[in-house]
Amino acid sequence: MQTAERRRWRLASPLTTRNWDGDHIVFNPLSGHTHFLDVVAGELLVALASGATDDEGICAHLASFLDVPNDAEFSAEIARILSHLDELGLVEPAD
Amino acid sequence: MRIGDLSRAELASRLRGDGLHLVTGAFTTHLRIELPHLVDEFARMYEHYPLDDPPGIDDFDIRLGSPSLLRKYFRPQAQSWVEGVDLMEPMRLDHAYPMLESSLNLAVATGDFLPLVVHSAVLERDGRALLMPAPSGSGKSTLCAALAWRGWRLLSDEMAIFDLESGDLLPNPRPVSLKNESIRVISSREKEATFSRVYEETNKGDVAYMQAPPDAIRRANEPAVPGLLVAPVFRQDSPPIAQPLERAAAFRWLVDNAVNYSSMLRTGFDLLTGFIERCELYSLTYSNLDEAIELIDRLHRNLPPPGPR
Repeated sequence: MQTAERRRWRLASPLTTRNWDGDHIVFNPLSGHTHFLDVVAGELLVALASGATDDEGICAHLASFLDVPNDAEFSAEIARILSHLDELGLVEPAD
Repeated sequence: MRIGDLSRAELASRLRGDGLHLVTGAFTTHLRIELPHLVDEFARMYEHYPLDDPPGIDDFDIRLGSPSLLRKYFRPQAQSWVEGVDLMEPMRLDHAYPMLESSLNLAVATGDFLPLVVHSAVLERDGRALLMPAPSGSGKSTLCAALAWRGWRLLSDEMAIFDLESGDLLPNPRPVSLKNESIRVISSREKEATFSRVYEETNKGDVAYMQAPPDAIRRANEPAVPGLLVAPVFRQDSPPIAQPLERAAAFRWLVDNAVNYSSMLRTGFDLLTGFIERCELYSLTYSNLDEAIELIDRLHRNLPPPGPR
């Protein structure tokens, strides 16, 4: 059985984005809303734009990108960001 | 035909009757005025404006009159109707002209029309637009009025209008609203300018209007390519300081101050992000108008050639 930690995620729809020096501006065509995201959330969307990825893959990618330890605290923070992006309708579970 | 080509009697008659079709650059307004004492101030401030004659399609319909028969005679008041709706509380008759100007702004803010509109002053030089988005109290209108007589063409002191096709800025030159101390500052500097009388104790304090320079009205069909965004901040005794502004911060300001961004969906996103990417972005802290103008001129001279949209 797949655990919550192994959940796979994907973009809820193709997004129009700008990355201005780490400030990510995102237009969500499903809601019509514009979102202002920091470098972590923005890079998370960039990673998912390449295809559905599970939590572990996302954490590994972001830890490498940010050059920080991929530990439990980091995973918890990424889970919180994923949940928030899900609420905004930008990402969704792939399974 | 221009407003100034009409005799006082003919102007009053047309305003009272079927109305005029006033062209202010990007917009045409069907305007009726049933308040006789307002005609002279309107004629002075709008003498250089063309009329759409014979009329085509109006963008807005505005009427100014008395809110009721009682208020026509007893403690007389002025009321305006934008598209037939009284969007503002009646004002004392003495404030009918500021009410007309507010109505022209409200018509844009509440209108159902195509261009993307953002609250900002806009001027042009050498074909390049200067946007000055700023809240009240920043000295934006004072700086805008001064620039309009120092080699910059006024497009608007209130609203940036983005052409949906090109992303260029469309002119809508109208009288510049000056408040309190800025009335004295600008009227003492700009001897060429024509001013309305001072309207005291309005809900914005003392207000007067500077007629848009005739050249700005004559060239009101010439758009401007994005060039500079300068967010002015007036700070007592500060030397003029220009600091680069982050793109995301400038974009957020434009979105927050746009009239109809959310209804534009992807088009609005593309227009404003495209604008940001075509502009040099600065905040400008200043205390002296001439120093601020000199600095803005320098920023303008150093602009790279316009890039593709």
